Amino acid sequence: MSIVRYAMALIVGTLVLLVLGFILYAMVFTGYFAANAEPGAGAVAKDPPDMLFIYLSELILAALLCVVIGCWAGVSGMVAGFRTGAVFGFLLSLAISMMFYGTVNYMNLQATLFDVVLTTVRVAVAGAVIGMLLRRKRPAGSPAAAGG
Amino acid sequence: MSAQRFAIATVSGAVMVLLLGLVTGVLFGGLFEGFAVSAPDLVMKSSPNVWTIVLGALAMGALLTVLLGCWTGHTGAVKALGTSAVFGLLLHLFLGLSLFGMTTMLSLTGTLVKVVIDTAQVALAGMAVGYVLGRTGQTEA
Repeated sequence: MSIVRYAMALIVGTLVLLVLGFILYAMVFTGYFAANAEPGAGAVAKDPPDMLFIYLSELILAALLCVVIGCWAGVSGMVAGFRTGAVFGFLLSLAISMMFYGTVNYMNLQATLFDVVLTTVRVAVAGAVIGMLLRRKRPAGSPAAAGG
Repeated sequence: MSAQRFAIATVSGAVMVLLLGLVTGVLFGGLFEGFAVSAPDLVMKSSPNVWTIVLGALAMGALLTVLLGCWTGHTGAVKALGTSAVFGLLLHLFLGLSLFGMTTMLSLTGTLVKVVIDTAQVALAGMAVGYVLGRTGQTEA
C-alpha cells in the first residue's frame, strides 16, 4: 500500500474528525454540554482553547485509525472502514470516558454517555472515509472491480 | 474466537488496567499534583466512582482483545507488548494533547509525562491480553 494513499487518508481523516468535532461540539450540542458540565469543567476550561494542540491530537487519532484500518485490521472500503471505526471508536471512547468520569468532575454521567455516542459516530464516519481512501485498486477486468 | 476466550482475555486486560492504574496512582500521584495548573481539588473527585472505572477498564480490555486477537493476530506476550505499546502511545498522545488543548488540568510537561506512564500501562495490559490469548489459543487448537 503506497505512502501517498496513507498520507491522503491521514489528511482527509483528520479533516473529517475536525469538521465533525466542530459541528457536533461547537455548534449543535454546545448548549447541551454546557448544561451538563460539572463545576470542575468551568474551573479548568481554556478560553479560548489551544487549537494547535487540538489539531495535533486529531491528526494523531487519524493516524491511529489509518494504522488500525489499513495495517492491523487489514480492511479497506467504506463499509469495512465504517464498521472497524465504529467498533474502535465505541470501545475507545467507552474506556476513556468511563475512567475519566470515575475520577474527574467534568461532565455528568448522561453527558459522558452521550459523548461516547458522538465519538463513536465521529470515529466511524472518519473510518469510512479512511477505508474508502485506503481501498486497494483491483486490476481492471477483475470481477470485483465493478462492484467496488 | 470463542466467547469464553474473548471474555477471559478481556477480564485479564481489565484487571491489569485496574492494578496498574492503582500502582501508578500510588507511585506518581504526588508527581502529578506538581504538574497541575489549576484547581486540582475542584476537578478531581474526592471519592472515585468505582463502577464506572471498572466498566472503563473492561472496555479497554475488550479493545485490546479485539486489537490483538481479531485484528492483528499478535498473540503471545512479546508480540502483544510491541503492538500495544504503539497503540498506547498514539492513543494517549491523542488524549493528552486533546485535553491539554481544552483544559488547564496539567502543564505540557505533565501531559507528556502522563503519556509515557499511560503508554507503559496499555503496553503491559496488552502484554497480559496477548499472553492469555496465546495460552487459550493453544488450548482451543
